[in-house]
Amino acid sequence: MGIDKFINDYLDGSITPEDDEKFRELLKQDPIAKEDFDLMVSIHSLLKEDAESIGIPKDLQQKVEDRILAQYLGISSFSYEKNPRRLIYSVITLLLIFIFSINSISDKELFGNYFFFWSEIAKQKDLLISQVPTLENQSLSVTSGNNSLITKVSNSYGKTDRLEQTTFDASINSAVDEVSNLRTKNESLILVTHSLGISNNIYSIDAKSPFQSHSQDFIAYEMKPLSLNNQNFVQNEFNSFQNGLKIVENTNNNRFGRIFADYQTKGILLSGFSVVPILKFGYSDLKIKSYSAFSQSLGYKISDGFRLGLEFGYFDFLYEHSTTILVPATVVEPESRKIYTYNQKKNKDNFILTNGGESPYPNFVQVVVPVERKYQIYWGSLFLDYVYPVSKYLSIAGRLNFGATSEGALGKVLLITEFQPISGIAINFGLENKSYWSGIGGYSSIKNEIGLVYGISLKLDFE
Amino acid sequence: MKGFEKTNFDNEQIRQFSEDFRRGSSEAFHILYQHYSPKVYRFCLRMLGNREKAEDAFQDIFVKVFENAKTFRGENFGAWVFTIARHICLNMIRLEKPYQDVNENSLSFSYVVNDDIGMRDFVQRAIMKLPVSLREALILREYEEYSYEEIAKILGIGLSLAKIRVHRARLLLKKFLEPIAKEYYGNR
Repeated sequence: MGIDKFINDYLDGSITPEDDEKFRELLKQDPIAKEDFDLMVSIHSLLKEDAESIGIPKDLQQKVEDRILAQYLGISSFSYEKNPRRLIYSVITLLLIFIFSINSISDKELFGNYFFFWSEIAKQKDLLISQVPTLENQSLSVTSGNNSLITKVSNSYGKTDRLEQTTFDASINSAVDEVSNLRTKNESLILVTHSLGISNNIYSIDAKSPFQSHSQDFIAYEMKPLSLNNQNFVQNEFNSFQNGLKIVENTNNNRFGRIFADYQTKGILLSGFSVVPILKFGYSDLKIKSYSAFSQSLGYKISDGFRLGLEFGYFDFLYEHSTTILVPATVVEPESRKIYTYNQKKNKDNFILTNGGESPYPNFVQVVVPVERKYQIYWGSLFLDYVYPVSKYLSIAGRLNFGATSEGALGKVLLITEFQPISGIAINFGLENKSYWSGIGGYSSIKNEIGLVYGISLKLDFE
Repeated sequence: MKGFEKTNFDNEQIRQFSEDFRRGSSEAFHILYQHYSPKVYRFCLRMLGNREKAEDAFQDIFVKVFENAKTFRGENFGAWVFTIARHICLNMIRLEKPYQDVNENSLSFSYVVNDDIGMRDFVQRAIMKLPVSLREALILREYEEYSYEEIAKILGIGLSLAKIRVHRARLLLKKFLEPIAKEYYGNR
């Protein structure tokens, strides 16, 4: 073993008795080794002296402690207003809305695209003609006041063929109005009045009000002749047929599912909700200074009225609460001494505790700190919705949640309205009652809160 | 309030405070801060060689310690704090100038040392001449008296490499300080 290794082990205090014996022998015999050893010991001592000479500046220690305490109390870094999460969620939501909006087929586009309807009529006309012989030979029921023919065609949008002439021979005199019996998925329905003796004409298309039949939504379009070869005949026919030629479109097959709201089809719902608390229970004498809750949910329609999904998000509190910190010190004159009044109205006093024999920390005194911040994460929950459509634009939904936060179980009941002014996007308002475990205030207990909920939802429906 | 006197703590107390800190006790954090802040400041000062930088690093370290309290697993608070301290100091060194290999043979001093303060100044200069990897190992061993196992953990290296670094740092330091130390101790 070399001299350097001996010296190193000696300085570390890890030299073995055998090596120590050899080392001492070496130092006696080798004056250069002895000189090296003395020098290393001197440097070692210098380093120890240097270490002892360095002290932390008092003002620095206090300054950093103040800074940390300020952060602990939520005075600076934990500013509620500066919390970026809400902004991030908002940006993501707006981005999602934008993406889905630019990919959707807008209502305006659908209603304004006459070429679209003309092409539909052209295609449906051909199919009608092909269907006429079959229908003529069938025994079909006739309903009074609404003689019509029903057939079905495959739905294929997008072409811009313009129908300028109609040539089919409408010699059908009987029809049925049992729309739902002939309807199948992914097909549109065409409702045609009987005895269409119209030929070589150009038509205009007008959308009529949507109507419901057997739980399905339809939009009726009225086709009126613009130029007529036989004005009197056609006029008479229209007068007697009430609505002229009707094309009934099954509105289930649009990009967003439907032009108007309904809840009968399957689909996905993406929601973002915020809560404004109205009433809170179980907080004892804690004074909540601010509260924030935000949740996102993903729901899937499992049947006509029910939706199942997951919800997650966060809620956090800034609240006043007294706590104690220990200061390493001894009290020269041991006695209880009031240093801070927490709440004068409630007549609650806090004291410095002496460091007597009963104290678990005999070398410290306890000092009361009045404010503490609490952050509780909402891990997520499973929810079940029941949706009741009130009108085309408005529905009411009830939601039942069961889940967990970072501090225990959570249960929630939500009653919310879904106002859907445009396709695929709903604005939500409602009330929620939320119960959850929370350890704020230093003890874990069930808290309850009633709050006003508002938010926005994206609806992607599909058959 | 009268007569506050700061106290020192034994290892068992530190271990208990560390455990309390892990459970979220702000009181324990306060005590650990009081205990470790002088050591951390000393580490920063010798690592960075400049009082202003050391103070900046010191502030960042304890704020980060507080903010990252949830990541502390409760094993060794001192090692955990010094791991954070080391990272912050290394970042400051990297920001100041790109790392450069030190030519050990080019280091020399041409000063005359007359007093203890002057000698400590030379010690600091010599430590600053050490490569960062050796410097941090030497400070942890000689100044903070951490075991090689703890040094290895803080530096994220193996035990044998920690020993080698300390040994090599001592030899380099001897080489740097040899002429001055001989003169200094010869004059005493």
